[in-house]
Formats: sequence, structure tokens, C-alpha cells
Amino acid sequence: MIREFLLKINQPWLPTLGTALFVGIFVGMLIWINRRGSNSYYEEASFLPLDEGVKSER
Amino acid sequence: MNDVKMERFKYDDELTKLFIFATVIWGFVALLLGVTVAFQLASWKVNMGLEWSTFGRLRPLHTNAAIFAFVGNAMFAGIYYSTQRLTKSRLFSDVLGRIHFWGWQLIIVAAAISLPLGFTTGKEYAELEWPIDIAIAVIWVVFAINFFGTLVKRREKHLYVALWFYIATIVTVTVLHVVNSIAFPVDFMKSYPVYAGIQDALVQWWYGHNAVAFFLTTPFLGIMYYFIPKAANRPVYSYRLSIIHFWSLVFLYIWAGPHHLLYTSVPDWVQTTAMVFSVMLWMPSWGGMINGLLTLRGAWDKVRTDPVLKFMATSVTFYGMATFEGPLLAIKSINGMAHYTDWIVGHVHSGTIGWNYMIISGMLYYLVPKMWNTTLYSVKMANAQFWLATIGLLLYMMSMWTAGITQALMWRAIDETGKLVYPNFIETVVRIVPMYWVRAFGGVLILAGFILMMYNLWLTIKKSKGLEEQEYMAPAMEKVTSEVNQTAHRKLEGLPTLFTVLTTIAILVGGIIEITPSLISDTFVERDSEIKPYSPLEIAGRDIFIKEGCYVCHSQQIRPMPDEALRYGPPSTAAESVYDRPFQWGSRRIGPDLARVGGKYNDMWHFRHMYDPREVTPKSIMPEYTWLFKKKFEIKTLPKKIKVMTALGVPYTDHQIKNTVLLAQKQAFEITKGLNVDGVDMKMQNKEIIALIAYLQRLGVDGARSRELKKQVRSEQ
Ligand code: HEC
Repeated sequence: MIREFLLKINQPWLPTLGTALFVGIFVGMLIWINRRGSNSYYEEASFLPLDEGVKSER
Repeated sequence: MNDVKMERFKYDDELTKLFIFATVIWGFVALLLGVTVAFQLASWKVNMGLEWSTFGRLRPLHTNAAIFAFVGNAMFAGIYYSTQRLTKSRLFSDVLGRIHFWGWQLIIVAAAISLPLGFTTGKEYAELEWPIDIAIAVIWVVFAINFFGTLVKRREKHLYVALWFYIATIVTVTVLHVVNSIAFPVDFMKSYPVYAGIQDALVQWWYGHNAVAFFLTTPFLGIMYYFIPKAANRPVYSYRLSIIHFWSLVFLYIWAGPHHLLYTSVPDWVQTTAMVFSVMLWMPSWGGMINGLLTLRGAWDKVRTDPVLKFMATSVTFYGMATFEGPLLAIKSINGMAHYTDWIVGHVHSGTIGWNYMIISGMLYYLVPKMWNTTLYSVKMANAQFWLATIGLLLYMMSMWTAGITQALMWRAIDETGKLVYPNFIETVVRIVPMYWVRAFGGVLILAGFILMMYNLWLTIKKSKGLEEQEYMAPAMEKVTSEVNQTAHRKLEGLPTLFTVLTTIAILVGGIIEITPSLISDTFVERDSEIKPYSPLEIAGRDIFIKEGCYVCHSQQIRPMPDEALRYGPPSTAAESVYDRPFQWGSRRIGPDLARVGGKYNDMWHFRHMYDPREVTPKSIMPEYTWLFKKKFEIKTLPKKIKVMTALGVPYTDHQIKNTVLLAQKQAFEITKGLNVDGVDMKMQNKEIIALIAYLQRLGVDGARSRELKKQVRSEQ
């Protein structure tokens, strides 16, 4: 059965399916990153590299 | 907040420093090798007539040194430095870090010794033989443990986007390396891949393409997301864009591998999928580029004066150029022209020099003064390097574009009577030799710039007054987590395990769909009973072909195009390479395709050509292979080789398995007897050249017989 299925993959619809899958994920991501209330969160995250911890004064 | 307990810790910067030294030393070696092989194409004399210094052996050494030694060490330096700071924690284990460092250097040394000696698997960018492959896997696991261990003990809940790129790198490289390297050992330094022909080709280019993606690109995107904000002292332009950039890139990249196999005997739907996804890849790549460049908004004045930003901005620009050119080259009609030509080599270097060399230089100019607690010795010198590298690279790219387009146009030129305008391949070679000189000169400039940087960094370190190890403080993570207001996504990003799993799924979706065709390739490779396994002597000859790296100059895959049919014969079929372990389709035609060279010339032609190519083809740039006339071909290992092949499913007859040595000797005797008529001593019969001739004369012969038979059957009907 697996073999049957694999053989059927031999079809030109594959790029279309892949593209559709990607577009789905892409749109999902767009919605997700723009969810309400995420502004401050992303703001904070983007400052992470600028902070290496406080230098100890000992 | 005040009652939060602060923990004290130190970063393991000594490890980063070790990797920085290694980066600089191996970078020099890789570039020097690059310049050497560039001159070898401009003048064959630079091959120096020694077996271990010919183009076929040094070119793989150059690519391996550039990718795994130079870029590899730089990546580890960047990852270890930034990961500690982004997690506010010391590395998981100092000892593992040292094992990683010394293990990796040992692997590089093993490569530097074994490749010139001719120990190679014959698969591009995966040439190292199986014991070294195992060592790579072990050291990679050590790296992974150290990295993920650090994530586990981190003091910062959130995983910054750079870390995602590192995770994707570690996961994907593991998968790629393991799947592509599976092989059956014959002896300590020789193995045959479990895949053959088209299957091997698909696995190899799935690996090859994604090695570019996940070794040369993703770790450096992580480095870009850390070091550009750091050097510009402002946050990344859009964190949201970086999320889209990451997931799109990781998801799409893995599908694009077969764009290296357009117009080959790989099924059409695989080729179309690769093309579509390669074009889509343009999008996230440019998303990343824009994000990197716009991070510099408001800091453009600094780009002019600060070498760090100058190199980084340029590297991101070249990244944008290379990732525009890549999808373009993956479009079938353009690929039909550019594939096998020097254009591809130019493209690769706009990536490795324009992107990797530049961003690594920027990173080093940032790290060395900072880690040695001083300022850069000379900004002028850094600027000089910048111009040398940029001009050198432009010369490189322009000469390779010109060479590639010239090759393409000359190869395919057909006159009104339907004949090739340039039937002699050598005419097309001679025409581009001037471009090889320009390219080599460009390479010298790039190397000179690198030497300036080495000197500059060395003086910077020398003027450092020493540095006490700095102690840092940060709150422990439990305290941070107890803060309220945790969104679901924050939880997601805070969980390295879940994140790693999601990344793995993202690469596996494309990976599985892309690998599936190769796993089921028996179903679409039409069996052809006329295609027979190589004789024992031909196997010995084939292994010499692999050992000498002939595949770096010669393809063995004829595409279905009129000019190729005229020049080389009918297109290659998948059935014709079912016994090719490894496949030798090649990726470049510095010399003509050899898929159907069998029978094109007589044995004596090859005998003379291999000894001195210019005797039969004046102006040829092919190296001479005089040692093949002195060294005996390996006969002791032949029975074992045939047994391994049999175990892998090659249908050798009992007679062949039992009488391997005898059969090989007999065939060698026959060939030498034929040559003897022209005065070749019978003593030559045990020499490598005889085995190589046997192999070359076999190429394409079975396919021709099969076509002949089919024609007969058709005419009888
Ligand atoms: C530096 C690149 C280079 C390498 C490495 C190289 N060749 Fe060549 N080869 C050429 C060029 C260029 C030509 C065309 C000019 C000529 O006939 O010499 C050629 C021609 C040939 C031809 C004649 C093909 C034809 O159809 O006319 C054969 C056979 C051949 N090479 C075999 C080999 C073998 C076997 C090796 C490895 C031992 C090898 N070459 C390594 C560049 C190379």
C-alpha cells in the first residue's frame, strides 16, 4: 500500500501542493505575528542582543 | 524586582578565541588553495606534474577547506560567542568545547592529508572517506550537546532569533551528513555508497544544496542577526520579519536541491518542484537581506567609517545578489545555458566570498578588539582589505560570467546546415583561458586582503594590554519565568525542545518529499537488461577516475538538447547509471562530457592523451597523468570490491566473483596487447593507465548496444 501511495506521488501536482502548503503557513504566520498585544513582546525580544548581562563590579 | 537574586558568571571566551585563530589560519590556507587551482586552469604547468598537486585533487581540498575549515571555524566562533551572551550563561561544558575544537581541527588535518593522497568518495563537498565522516558526526554531536546544554541552563527565557538559526543548522546538518554519507567500507580508506546512479545523484544534491543552505547560510544569518545590531548598537529592524524570514527559509530551502539536476535523467516532476521552490526562495532570502540592511537605518554614516559595519553591510548586499542569481539560475531555460559552465562557479563565489568571507571579516573586526580589550590596530588597513576583496570579487564574478556565457554560446552554436559551429571542444576552452587569468588575479587580490587582515588582527592582539576575565551578573531564569504575562508564543520560543521539533518537521516535510523520489527510484528507472555491471578491471579504472578527481572537470550526463546530441550523442538515461557507485555525473565541463566517450577514440589515443594531453590536443589545459604509467593498479582489493558491490545488489555472476583477479588480468593483457602493436611494452599491463583505459572505453557502450537492439526490434516489427 505504501508503495502504491509512493508511486502516486509521481504526479505533477506536487509543486502545486507544496506551494499551497507554503502559502498556508505563510498566511498563518502573518496572522500570528500580528496578533494583538504582541508589540511590546517583540520590542523586548529585539533588544536582546544589546544586553549581555550586567558587568560585575567586583 | 530588587529582591531578584543575581547570579555571577563568566563567559568561556577562550574557546571563541581558539576558533578565531583557526578561522584565520584555515581561511588563509583555503584562499591560497583557491588561488592555486585558479592558476592551474590558466596554465596546466601549475599542476606541477605531481599526483597530489593536480587540479582534480586540490580542487576538492580547496572547497572542503573553504567550507568546513574556514567557514566552519568562523561559524563555531560566532555561535559560541553569541549564544553565551544571548542566553546569559557560560557554555554548558568547557571540556566538550575543547573536544569540539581539537576534534574539528584534527578532522581538517585528516582531510588535508587524505584528499591530496587521493582518498575520496567522489561526491562533491562530501569527499571525505568514511572514518573521517564518522569523526565529523561524533564531533557534531559534541557541538550539539554543548549548544543545547547551554540553552537548557540559560538565564534568558526567550530564545532570540539568532539561536533559531543555529538550531536549524545543527539539526539539518546532522540529517544531511548522515543520510548522504551512508556507505559500505571496502577497506580503511575506501567505500562505496549504498545509493547508485540517479538515487545517489538525488541524495547527493539534496545534501550539496542544503549544505550551502545550512552550513554557509543559516548559521551566518544567525550571526548577522546578532552582530549587526551589536555593531550598529540598535535593535534589528523588524523582529516580526525575522520570524517570517526564518520559517519561510527553513521550510523552502530543503525542496530546492534537484535544481542541480535539471535536464538530467531525473523525472520531470522532481525538476519542476525544485524549480518552483527555488524561485520562491528568493522571497525569504530578500526578506532577510532587507531586515539586515534596514537595521543600519540611521547608522549609515557609521558604515562609511566602521570596518565592522562596512564589511557586514557589503556581505548582506552580496547575499542579496547571490540569492537573486540563485533562483534565476534554477529556472530551467536559464539553467540549460548556465549549467556545467563557469557561471555557476562565479555564482558560488559571490556567495562564499561576497557573503561568507565578508561577514566573517566583519565579525573578526568586531570580536578581536573587543575580546582583547583594545582597539583595532589600523582602520586604514581594514579599508584596504575591503577594497582588495571587493575589487577582487568583482573581477572574479565578471570573468566567470563572461567565461560561462561564452562557453554556453559556443557549445550550443549550430549553423544553418545543422552542424556544430565549434565541433572541437578545445576551441571553447582556448577562448576562455584569458578569463581564467583574470579570475586568478581577482583571487590574488582577495587573498592579499586576507593577509592584510591577518596582520592587522595580529598587531591588534599584540597591542592589547591583557584582559582580566570579566564577570557578569544576571538573574536566574526561574525568577524571570515567574513573571506574569506569558503568552503562548513566548512559551513556544522558550522551549528549545519543542522548537527543535518544529524546525525538524519544517525541514523534513520538504526533505521527505524530496528524498522520496530517490528512494522509489527503482519504480521509475526503466530497467535495461543491456546495461551490465562494470568488469573488475573497469571497476579498478573507475576508482582511479574517482581518485584523480576527473569529475571536477568532466561530466557524465548528456542533456536532451540538440547541441549535446550532436556533440556527445543521445541523452543519458537513468538506466545507464544504475551501477554507478558513486554516480559521476559531475557539475562542470572544463573538459568535454565523457558519458559516451567509449569507442570514440582507440586505446592508443587515450594512452598518449593521458601521458601528455597536449600531444594529441594542442593547447589542452588538462593535467598530465604520468604516474598512472608507473603505478600498478590495485588488484589485491578487487575481489573485496566486487563482493561489496554484490552485497549492495550489483548482479555479478559467480564466475566474476570467483575469478575477479584473473578476469582483470586477462582484460588488462588484451588491452596491452592491442597497444603493443604501436610499441607499448607488455610490462605496462599491470599499470593504472590500462585499467583507466578499460573504464573509459566502456562508457556509453552498453547504452549504444541497447539503442541498436531496440532499433532492430522496431524495424523487424
Ligand atoms: C583541469 C581539468 C581536467 C581534468 C582534471 C581532467 N581533464 Fe580530461 N580534459 C580536459 C580538457 C580541457 C579536455 C579537452 C582537451 C583535450 O582533449 O585534452 C579534456 C579531454 C579529455 C578526454 C577526451 C574527451 C573527448 O571526447 O575528446 C578524455 C577521455 C579525458 N579528458 C579524460 C580525463 C580523465 C580520465 C581524467 C582524470 C584522470 C581527466 N580527463 C581529468 C580537462 C580535464
